[in-house]
Amino acid sequence: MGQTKVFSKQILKIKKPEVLLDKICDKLKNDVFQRFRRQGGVVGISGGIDSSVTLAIATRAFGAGKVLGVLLPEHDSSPDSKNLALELAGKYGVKTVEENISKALDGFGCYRRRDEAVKSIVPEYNPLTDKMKIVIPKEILEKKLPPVFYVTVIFANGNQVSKRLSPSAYLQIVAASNFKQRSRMSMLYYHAEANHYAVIGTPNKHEVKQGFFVKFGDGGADVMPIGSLYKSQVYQLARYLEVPQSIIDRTPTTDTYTAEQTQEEFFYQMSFEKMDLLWYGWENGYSAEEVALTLSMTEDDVLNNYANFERKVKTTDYLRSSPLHDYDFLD
Amino acid sequence: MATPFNLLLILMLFNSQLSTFIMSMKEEIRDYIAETSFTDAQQIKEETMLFEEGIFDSMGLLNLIAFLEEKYGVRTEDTDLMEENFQNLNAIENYVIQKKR
Repeated sequence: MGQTKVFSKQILKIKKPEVLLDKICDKLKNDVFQRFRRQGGVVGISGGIDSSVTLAIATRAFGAGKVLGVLLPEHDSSPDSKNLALELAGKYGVKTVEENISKALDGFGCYRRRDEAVKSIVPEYNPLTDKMKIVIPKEILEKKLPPVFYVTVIFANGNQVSKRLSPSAYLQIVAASNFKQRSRMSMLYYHAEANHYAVIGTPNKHEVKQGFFVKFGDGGADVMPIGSLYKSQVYQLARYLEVPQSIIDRTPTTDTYTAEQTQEEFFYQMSFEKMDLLWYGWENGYSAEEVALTLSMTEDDVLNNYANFERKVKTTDYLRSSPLHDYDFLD
Repeated sequence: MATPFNLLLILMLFNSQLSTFIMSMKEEIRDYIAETSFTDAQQIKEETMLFEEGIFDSMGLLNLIAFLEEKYGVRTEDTDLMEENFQNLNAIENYVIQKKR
């Protein structure tokens, strides 16, 4: 793809946030009111930057009276999430409802199935006292291999151990943990249908394109108004929309495993600022030479990242695919 | 008695068995990759870059590691996880031979 702008660190800066927001809000209103014929929107709020900006945008588009913020804590959630989500809703005057999904997750066997898989790799793991998370060691990515997943267990005494996951243990941990996002989606649709609203999804551009979402979980929504925005642009809009500073300052976490884990640590492996620019460079056909010069990286490093992006898009295509129903072979 | 002629025969036999083992191992790995990645085995050449060309992803690599352990008793250590050992059929074959020594 050809490009006309000179690559720079400022290339993703939104020049007129109010103009962009007007366009997003107009489309959101059109999609929800005209196309879907729904009366408003439901947003799952976690105190994270993406759901906060999504709620602010929905409120700007529909008015606070037509937005419902749903808090969906569970056993492993950070207590900060609830306080921040309530602060956000208070700021925009949006009504909230809290739904604790721990019992539903218990019913699905979410925690039991996950812990069973962790124990198969780290038999000493005690879910009652220890914490766990899945990690991808940075050294692996530097060796130009696809991510290889490890489980890290942090014992009650502070010691920790990381072990490579077997395919079956990895799949079981992911499948069990995904009950969380899918249970949240079910509850969001309950409130959406009970109010004749649409579900307003919160993934940003990286999550959508790199497949950092759960199919029919947080990827299950009617419309995703920030789905084309880079993370740094989400932050820029957050400041413009006056999202509470405590939310802007919070490090984005996966909010999935019992041990604290940032999104950067788990999935992206680099700062959002750097990733945004690399992704933009890759997506818009900028040469590795030009990008490397601007970001003080080597060309090889940039090319590695380009290859990694290409691989992620290819391997996560399944997640973005809607159910295939083109099986019409009748005469 | 081990005469030079006998030794030569044994060596030839060993070499031929080794070649057969290597050939069959490469074929087995190729078949495994083809079957699990739904790729035509003909398309997987000795130098085909498995990850770059999207034939294998993370799960493919994890499964391959498990396959090598189950089939050839090769236990992959964390320090073995590098592109040079897994990038294509030749690399995987060399890796297994090195580990078996």
